Amino acid sequence: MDTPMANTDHESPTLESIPTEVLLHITSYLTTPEYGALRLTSKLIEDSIHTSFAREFFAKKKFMISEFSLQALLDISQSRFAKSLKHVIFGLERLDFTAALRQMTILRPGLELRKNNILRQQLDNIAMLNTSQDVEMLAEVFSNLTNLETVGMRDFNSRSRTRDHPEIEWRSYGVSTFLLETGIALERTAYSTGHLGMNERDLHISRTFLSLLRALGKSNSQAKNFEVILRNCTLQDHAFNIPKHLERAIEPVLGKLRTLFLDISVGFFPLYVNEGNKLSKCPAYLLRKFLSKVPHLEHLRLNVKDRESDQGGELLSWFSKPNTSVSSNGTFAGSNLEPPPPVDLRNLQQLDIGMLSVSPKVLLAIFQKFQATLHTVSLHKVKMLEHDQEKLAEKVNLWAEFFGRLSEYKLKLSAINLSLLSQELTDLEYLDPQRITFNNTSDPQVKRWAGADLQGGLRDFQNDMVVKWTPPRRPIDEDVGSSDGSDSGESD
Amino acid sequence: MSETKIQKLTLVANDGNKIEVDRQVAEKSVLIKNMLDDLGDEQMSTEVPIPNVNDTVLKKVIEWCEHHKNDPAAPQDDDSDSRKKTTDIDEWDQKFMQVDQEMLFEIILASNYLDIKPLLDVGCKTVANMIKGKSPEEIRKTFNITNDFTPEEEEQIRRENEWAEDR
Repeated sequence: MDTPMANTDHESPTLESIPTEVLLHITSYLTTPEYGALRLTSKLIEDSIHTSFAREFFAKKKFMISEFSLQALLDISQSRFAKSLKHVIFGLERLDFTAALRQMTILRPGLELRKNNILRQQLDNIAMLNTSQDVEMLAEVFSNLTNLETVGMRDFNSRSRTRDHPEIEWRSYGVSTFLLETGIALERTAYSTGHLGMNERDLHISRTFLSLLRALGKSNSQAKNFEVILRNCTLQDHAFNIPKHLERAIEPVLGKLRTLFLDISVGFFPLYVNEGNKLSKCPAYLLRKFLSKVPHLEHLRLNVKDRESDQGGELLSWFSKPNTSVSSNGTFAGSNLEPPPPVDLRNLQQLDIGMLSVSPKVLLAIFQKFQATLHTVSLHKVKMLEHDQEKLAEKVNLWAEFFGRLSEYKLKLSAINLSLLSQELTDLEYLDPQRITFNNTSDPQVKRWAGADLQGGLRDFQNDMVVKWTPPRRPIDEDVGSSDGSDSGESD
Repeated sequence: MSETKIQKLTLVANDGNKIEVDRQVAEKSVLIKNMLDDLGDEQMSTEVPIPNVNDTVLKKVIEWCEHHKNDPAAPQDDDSDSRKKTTDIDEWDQKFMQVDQEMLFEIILASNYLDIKPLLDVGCKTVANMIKGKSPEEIRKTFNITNDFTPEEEEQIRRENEWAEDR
């Protein structure tokens, strides 16, 4: 038996002399401020917990677009923690002038200094945005963060802050201070002014999206993952507008991307394109153009959150088109009316599709198009749509039929994840979509498969899928979009 | 089978003193339990050297193991970080841990070496409770630590703490 060497030094153990693993065990019971106080006691202690501290607090961090928050990020990027930072997330909290004015009017006399503070912060923020100072700061940040892999945007707080939970979540840096100084809770700022799809929040999201890409371009960062995970809002199509003067800065950034997560809606005013010598609507036109600029993507997640979701189906239909079918017709050549070319993602290995309706034909075409590279597919809250009275009469299970068809293709899949699926066989509005449940799984709404025997996996899917036929004329009892608030394959 | 199974073990502390204990008590130590499992009873001498622990500390550790010998084994994934950790300590353990700081750290080191996770937890919680709610200066006083930071270094650490706290 191996026994470690006998403890030969006779010095009695102290907090400073115990092994790091034991010291870390002790610190695991401390809240963040207590942990911080311990770091301040001596160099020896600070040094022995440094690696662990850096990993816990500085590997992944969330900020917001405000001078205070970005200054902290800039300082961190110039500190010894810069090389720890691999993942930077930006919350969508926004210094909203309407909320500030409201707050200032309710402050009682005697709180003039606080009013000053609120006004100053608002004016500084406007100046920062008007001069694109945020982009300058971010560019400097990104060039300092040499180990940065992932840039993200989120509109929610992570609950994984176990040290301080449940009192404190991982908020965007700056939110707490702002609340303290102004009395305004940024997370609860209401956004509603403006046209649907163009309200202040939508514009703020689009601006943040573009600012991040610009800053990445200016900094020549090597970040290869861009993850937008939104639970309460979406990217509108105008987020994907890359104006000509920014193409040179942004296209190299997009060329480096390996992972792209998007939560979008496609209901924004569509542009018109020339399709068969006829001008027709092209929903998500700008996104389609955008996707032609990310040729090296290996993992794409697309959640389409629209109430009336047939436009999401149109987007997928375009997505499924083979690369060879580029139609170039002369009539409108040279104008801006060319339809976006089919997407060409020849390295696509992982595809997550969520929250939209799709016909079996289109979904099959997508599997076929990417069959050479695709190894993981996740479908979350996807509704299979086929308006077929015969199939309705026979109560056909569309998904089971689909997986039967899929076994005829030469696929290289090694994992398939399905959750909260449904199907719809008629366009009659009084019929609810029929939910799909799975036998032999712990959660009947979820089924995951991974392995080498794809044919066996597909057979299991077919056999274990059950359509829950709901009687007609019953109101929809649950909004699938809000039940758990999580998107496909979302981590933490 | 039960008659061939060794029921008593003699633990030998690093200063040579021998302490006889029930096998069940000794097996609270995962180190000793694994050793018994690996060697099998036939090859097992009933004397087990514990070279890292002295007589006084070993006796104290055995006292804890005696008291807790019938505790159910801890669940497998006990140390998962998914939940906030509580520093509650049961009454008997609190009394047990009312020792001087030197002994407290000796017990912690011995339980770490012998792999007695519940005892290590209690020891570490006791130390954590001595840190909780204190300023850096108060922590230094409690544990007899000398501040060797320059004011500039201290300011830097303070700033880093603010970043960690999400201001």
